[in-house]
Amino acid sequence: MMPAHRSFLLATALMLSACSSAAQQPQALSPEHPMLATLEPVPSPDEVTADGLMSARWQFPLMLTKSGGDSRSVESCRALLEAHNDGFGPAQPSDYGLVQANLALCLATEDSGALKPSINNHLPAPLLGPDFPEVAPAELAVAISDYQRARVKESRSWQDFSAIRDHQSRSPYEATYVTEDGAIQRVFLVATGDFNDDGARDAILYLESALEEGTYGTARYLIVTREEDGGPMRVLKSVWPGE
Amino acid sequence: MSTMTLSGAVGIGGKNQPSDIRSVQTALNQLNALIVPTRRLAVDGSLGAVPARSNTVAAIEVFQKKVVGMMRPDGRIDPNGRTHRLMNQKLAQAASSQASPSPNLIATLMKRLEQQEGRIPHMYLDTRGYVTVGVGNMIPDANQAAAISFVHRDTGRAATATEIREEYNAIKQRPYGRRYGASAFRPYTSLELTNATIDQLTRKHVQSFTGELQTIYGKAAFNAMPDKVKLALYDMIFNLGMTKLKNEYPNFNRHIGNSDWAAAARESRRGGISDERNLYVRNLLNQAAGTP
Repeated sequence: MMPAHRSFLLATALMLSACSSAAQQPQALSPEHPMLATLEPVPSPDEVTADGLMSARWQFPLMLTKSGGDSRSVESCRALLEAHNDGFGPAQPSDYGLVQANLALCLATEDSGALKPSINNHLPAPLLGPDFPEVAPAELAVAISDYQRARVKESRSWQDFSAIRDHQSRSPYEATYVTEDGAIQRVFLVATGDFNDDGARDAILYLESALEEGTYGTARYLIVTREEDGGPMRVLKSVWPGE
Repeated sequence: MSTMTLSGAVGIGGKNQPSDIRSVQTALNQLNALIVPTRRLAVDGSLGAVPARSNTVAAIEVFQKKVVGMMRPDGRIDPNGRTHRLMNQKLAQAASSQASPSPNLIATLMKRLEQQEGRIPHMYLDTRGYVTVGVGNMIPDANQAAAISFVHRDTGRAATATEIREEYNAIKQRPYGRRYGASAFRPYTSLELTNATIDQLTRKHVQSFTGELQTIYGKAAFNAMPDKVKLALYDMIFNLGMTKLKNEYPNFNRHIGNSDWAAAARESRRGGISDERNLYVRNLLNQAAGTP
């Protein structure tokens, strides 16, 4: 059995650790986190942490099934990730995009909870401005065919891959880019902080892609960084549920 | 052209009247999908100085070998001869299938699109923020919405144009995105489409895709494709739109143009969509190729 004083110290350390992370998370988390738009009523300020968002109840439940016929209704990120790990997926083919998008956003939110305070910041400010595609990695492009995805690997930046025709920004945390070839990329800044322990500020970007023609759509997230001012940005992590 | 009339023979040893040569060149272009890898012919009414070396005679020989089944093609089309009759038969088939895809194909296609895109009777915002209804039918503006026969969900009463416009504008204001299902918009609607109206809209949508696919691959070539290939292409164009299908898939389109369905299957993948949907298209193309 643990001595009483050690138990007290451990408990205090855990409390301090919890307070510390609670204090840091709102700084890292985007004040316009895309998941907030799905919550009704708006959560209290205490809940607006990565952990709070993972447990927050959605406005609409999501029905999932798995082979064998079992079904499960989920109403939060935590429940969705648990169900996904248990092998549950979309209840019908037309729900694929909905489940994929919520998985991407929930995983991005989970990752934002692990961010640490950064020491250096070389990211452009504002990040999602009209010039972002010039420094952003080509992985932000909407590339659907294997032919185009091979081109992504050869491109220096998003702009190098596809010329941007239009940029609209609703806030510093959300922007929509339309390319000359009719691809629409909505980019949401989910959180910033140090993801890979190098002291530099990294950004978690949740992406929703669509086309001007056609019903194609997909959702994924990237963690990007830049090691020096004016340098290229690069991808630290890329998560595309289902890929 | 649904039939080709000739005043004299065209090809090696034929009378080779320029007007007849032009008719043959036009017809062979229309039937290009049947004579791959033949390239489209210039319609110039000429076989050149040495007809036996012309592209037109080479195309006639490929047609005779592949379609007529001649072991030793003679490179000549005689009026009402075997090659001429077969060409007219294939032209007529292409013309009739051009008018409308078969009812069976449309029924299969509509069922499939409904599985993939859902069948939503009320207005909702798609992932681009466009107001949409039925099986992925985008409604460009409130006036076009008002031209669709919406009814009140509770009473079945026909909605007025004003009611439809109001609901359209209310839905247009809602937040949208990939993470919102169509059902999230239902509480903000009171108008719906009947099943008959949804089917009618979907048929119209399919018709527009037929025209787009004929634009990409050529009318006769598309019409002559096996139904399984057509179903695969409909799925692709519904999902990607004409511009992306045309520009983003150069290798795929080249293989389709060469009727190499197995190679097209290998190039058909769309990143970011479900494995099941990719597999559906790949299997259709492989089945058309006779590949397991």
